[in-house]
Amino acid sequence: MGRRGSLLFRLQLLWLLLLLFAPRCGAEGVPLHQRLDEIIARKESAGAQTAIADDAEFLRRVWLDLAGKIPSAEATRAFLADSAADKRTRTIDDLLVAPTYTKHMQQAFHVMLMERRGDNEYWQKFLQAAFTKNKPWDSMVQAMLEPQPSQDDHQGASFFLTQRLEKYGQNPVDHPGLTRDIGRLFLGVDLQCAQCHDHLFVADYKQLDFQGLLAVTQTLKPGKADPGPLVSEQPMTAKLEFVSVFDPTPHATGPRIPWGKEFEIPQDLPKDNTYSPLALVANGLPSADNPRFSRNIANRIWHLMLGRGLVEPLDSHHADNPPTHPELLELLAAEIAEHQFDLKWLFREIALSDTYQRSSRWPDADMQNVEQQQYNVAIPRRLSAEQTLDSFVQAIAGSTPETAQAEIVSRLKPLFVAALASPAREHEDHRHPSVQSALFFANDGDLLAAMKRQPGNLVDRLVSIKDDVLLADELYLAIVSRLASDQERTELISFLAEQTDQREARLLHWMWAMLASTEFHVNH
Amino acid sequence: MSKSPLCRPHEHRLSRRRLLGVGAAASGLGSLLSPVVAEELRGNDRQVLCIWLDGGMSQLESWDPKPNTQFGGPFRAIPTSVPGINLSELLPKTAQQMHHLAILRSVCTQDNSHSAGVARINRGDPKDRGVVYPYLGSAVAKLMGPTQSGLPPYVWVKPGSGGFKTDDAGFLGPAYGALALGDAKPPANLLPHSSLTSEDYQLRQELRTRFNERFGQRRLNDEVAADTSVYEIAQALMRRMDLFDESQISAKDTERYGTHELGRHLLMGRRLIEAGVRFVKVNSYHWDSHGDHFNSSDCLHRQFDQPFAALIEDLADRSLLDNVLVIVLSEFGRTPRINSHCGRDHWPEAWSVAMAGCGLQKGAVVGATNALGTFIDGQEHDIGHLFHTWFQALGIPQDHMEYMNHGQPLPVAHDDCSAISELLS
Amino acid sequence: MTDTKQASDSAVPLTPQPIGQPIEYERLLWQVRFSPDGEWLIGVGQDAKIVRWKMGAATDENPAGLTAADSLTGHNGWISGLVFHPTHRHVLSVDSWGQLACYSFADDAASEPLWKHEAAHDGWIRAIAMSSEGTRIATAGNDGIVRLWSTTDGAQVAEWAHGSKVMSLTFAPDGKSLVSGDLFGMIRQWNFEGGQPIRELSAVPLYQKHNNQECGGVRRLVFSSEGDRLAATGQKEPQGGFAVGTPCVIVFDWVTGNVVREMAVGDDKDGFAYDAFFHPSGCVIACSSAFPGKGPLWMWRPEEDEALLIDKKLTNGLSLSLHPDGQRLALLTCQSPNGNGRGLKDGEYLGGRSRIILMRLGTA
Repeated sequence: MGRRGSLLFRLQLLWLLLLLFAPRCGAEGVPLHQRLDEIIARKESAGAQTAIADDAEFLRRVWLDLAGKIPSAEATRAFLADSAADKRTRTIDDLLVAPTYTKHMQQAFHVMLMERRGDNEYWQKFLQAAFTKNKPWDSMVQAMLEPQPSQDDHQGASFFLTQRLEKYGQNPVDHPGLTRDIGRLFLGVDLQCAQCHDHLFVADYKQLDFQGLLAVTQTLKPGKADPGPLVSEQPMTAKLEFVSVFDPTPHATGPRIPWGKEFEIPQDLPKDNTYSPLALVANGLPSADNPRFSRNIANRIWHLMLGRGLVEPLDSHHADNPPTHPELLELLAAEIAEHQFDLKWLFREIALSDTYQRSSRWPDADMQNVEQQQYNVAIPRRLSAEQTLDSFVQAIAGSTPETAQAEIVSRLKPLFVAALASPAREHEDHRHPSVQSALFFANDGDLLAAMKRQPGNLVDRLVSIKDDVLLADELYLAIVSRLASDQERTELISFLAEQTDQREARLLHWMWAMLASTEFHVNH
Repeated sequence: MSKSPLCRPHEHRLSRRRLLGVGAAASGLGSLLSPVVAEELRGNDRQVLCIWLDGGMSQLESWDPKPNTQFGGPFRAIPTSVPGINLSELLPKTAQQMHHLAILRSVCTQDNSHSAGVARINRGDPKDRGVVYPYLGSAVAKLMGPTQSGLPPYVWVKPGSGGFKTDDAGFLGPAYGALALGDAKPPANLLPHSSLTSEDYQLRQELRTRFNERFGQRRLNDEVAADTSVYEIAQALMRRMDLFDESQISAKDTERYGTHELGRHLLMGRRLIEAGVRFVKVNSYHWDSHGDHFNSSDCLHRQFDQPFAALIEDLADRSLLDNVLVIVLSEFGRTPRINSHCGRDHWPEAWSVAMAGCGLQKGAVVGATNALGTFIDGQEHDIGHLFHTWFQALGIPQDHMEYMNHGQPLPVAHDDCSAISELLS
Repeated sequence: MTDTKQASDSAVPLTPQPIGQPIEYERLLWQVRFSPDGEWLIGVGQDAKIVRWKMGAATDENPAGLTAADSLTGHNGWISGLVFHPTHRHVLSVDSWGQLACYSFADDAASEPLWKHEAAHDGWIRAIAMSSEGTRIATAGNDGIVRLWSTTDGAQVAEWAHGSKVMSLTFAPDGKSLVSGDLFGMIRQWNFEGGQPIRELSAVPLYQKHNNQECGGVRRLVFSSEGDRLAATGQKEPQGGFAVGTPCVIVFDWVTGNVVREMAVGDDKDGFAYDAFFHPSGCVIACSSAFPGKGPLWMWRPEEDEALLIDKKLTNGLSLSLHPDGQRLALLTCQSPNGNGRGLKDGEYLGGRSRIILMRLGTA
């Protein structure tokens, strides 16, 4: 195990102790997850809500959200058989300390923050360490924005900036784009249309908010890597002048956090280079005193778990685009700030809520009273390219050695990303299938080959199961993480019986159809 | 700064670049128009073939020649199949098809740069509503949907790489992007895998459909609907693999269209139209001849002339021209002034757009430039006018010409423009 | 002048000095030539006119001594070339609509062509050449056909297919062959029987297929006065789009057909070498044009590794003509703004203009 392992163990122990003993309630002593349920319930029409998800539904969902892939057939079986009253809570807690939590969050936040612009090993190390140690979000953002790493584990975080300071194609360095992304990803505001004038449609977004931040970002360049990516700053010595295209009155601003105060540019720059507007932003922007900062992360975590932000789109917080549940957003924002931006804590509270654990299936055929925005039913949401890949490999090869699975993942990863991911520089907040992905699943040679019989993999095991019930359950547990219904079992058996000498081929057809079905590709 | 007086409170909800990235799929396909109209349009068999000449085709060496004038250049004008209408001598074959064409010579647009101009023209340069408007192809794909053929409604034949290009769709969302065929080659994974027979493939689709049906019961339907739609389109494409089989192309067609890139691509365009793709776009690049223009255009315009004339002739022969709208478009024209490296620069001030097909006049020239070809003489027309004209020619009803964006209607083209009645039949 | 380098050979011409003010002409011309008798300077170009200046004695008011006379009309499109009969005072011109015409140029008043063929070619005639004894002219152009005509009555004498777009023509000084240069950088030598070239030289660096276009070509062919050298002008590795590459003149040894010198001058934004000639000393003088202010004039002895003179102020040169006295040089330059969009000046949309600079060639 060594030093590193025992450090990890100590951290996990500490976390469990904190769970047991630290106050995790809001002001009135009521847990957050209960308070959020109350707020949601208040807005729903009476009686119009669906039941809590059954065990299989819950387990699959929480695995996808906290581990980034479906549970193994074994884990599902065990969970279904477990009669303990607190099994859901225990599962949530186990998942939050498992390595899969780190791996999933590392991936999800990498895509959210970098939008497939490229990758870097130090950046990945930064994310990995951050999620392993449950680094507070404000500290993570500070690491991403500061001019030099202020701590060892901040190495690599500057990739957020440096990758956006590279030219791509014939375009010049996009400082306005970087300014915009800081606003979108850390404050939940898209100031793009406020670069040249006050935003035409959003009263809250002023040109000053954009320009004040641009005064900081436009002085940045990628620095010399040492060894991780580093940013280099040449602070402005005078205010940035700007003019609206609609109004020739000249304005000027020093470095400024949007909706924050303007920093004064010193008359004489200190010789020791201690004047850094970027450092001022890195320290000032991610703060409990910055309500936009808190609301943004609260909304994004909510979106990750529920499939829809309280404010949609996620970078569109403003007075004329109110949240569906303003009180809830304020509560989540206040609470996360109060809990030192402990992301794991918020994930946990949300996972414990009834709202999160609601079924996606409506009680009756008449879907009239479904109100997606009121969360009276769970919203099915499409898996990311990585979740799809990891779940696919888990399904077809989960019973083979880790190394074999890892090999399949690395072979198929570029294909899955090409077929399912958004192009670079576009967010993946909401995902869609495409003709490309449909053709990929139907016809791609590598994907189809991976499903074929290999020692110990799914079809290999299924072929030799004689008992109908066991066969159907093993198949359904492996792929869609639930037991087969009677009807499904009957259909499967008669399908196999149609050509008994083609058992393996027929199993593969059935498996393919399940792996291509919406049920597999969606978190429901 | 005060708010724009046009600003209405509910528009603030729209003030987003990617508003319906979610909504388009989430609220179901076809949500833009009332169901009755959507059905009518789906039954409508009109199609579009748009030829994009990237870089700016010179109107003076094509549709609006001014021989023997200060800026007219060296080439002559030639008579066409329509007495009284002349084209540049660089389009001899197209001149023989003039009786099918309609040319607007009074185009005056706003942007003389490629970087912004290309997108503005392709989007119809509508009024700024805080959303990114879709390109014409995505708009038609959304407003009219696929034809009965089930093939993807927006297919783009282009040099270079292929794939699913979502940028064109703007706020409509990635489902309305273009399926790009790089060098007219089939999309990746089009061919069914060699390990599967077509019965296998069918069997798999039946099972998948059955599973999805079951899953969709008593659940929000958008994800199932999205999967159904893309698989159906994929299937429709797979059924038409012959489109990518070069042995299916007759020697006569190859000779008439030419073996050069634009020739091959326009032939593919015709075949895609025949197969029932709703909107086909064919791109040709490198028209931006700032220097040595009179050799460039001699080369390029002929590369266009040969297959374009063949295309018009073929569409007319197959009686397709009544239902297909053909458009030849660039981001601007070229300057009358000839510069010191013997070229023409960008000129949005006065240029021409040629078109043919359903709903349009035949053998017509609308609008004019002055004797020198520098500026428009009379009524100017912007790309917004053309968009209105084309939507009308396609039978998209005037009063339903709106995108619904969370209950908020958005005009499909610039509100201050209207269809050019002289172009419509 | 800038970038001047003196050579050791004292017969080499150097340091052109302007004579008087340049002549301004309100339209774009393509070519200027002095008449063999030295009394006229004639220009042709985009206004389909044969523009004439009479040469007179230099005065204080008019140091160049050039006086404009009426232009000769009757052409269409662009006049792309002109040649003079060596002794009769005739000028023969070709245009982009396919017309060949012969004019008397020396009367003060303008006159009609002596004869003309409206359809000498189908479309743009790119080049015209005069045999040294004056009995034959040759024309060729975009239609790829080379035609020979009698200068006495304009009757067609021969024709053959070059096979591709011809951009330049010249007769060898010994009168025994005609040389054509085409779009693809091929130079063909023809005797006057049969329709087959007797030799081919490659100036392929002056051609490139780029961006789906055939770019470049041999724009001008010119022999040295002894006939031992042939120069081919154009652009090195030409491209489409802005088409501003490196001007280039390739000098061949006519006997062996080998390249003596490839003269690529300037940077990759200096355009095409549009015109060149051999000074009696053997030095090649060439002009080029690209963006405003680009495209130098240069002088280069083919034996040397480097140019004698590169003048970056005498830019945008489209044509050069040496006066028969060997002392004076006329440089036609293009004064045309470039730029996208409106670019109005005082509300006017201006086209390009020409400026002819008369210069005296000193010697070292």
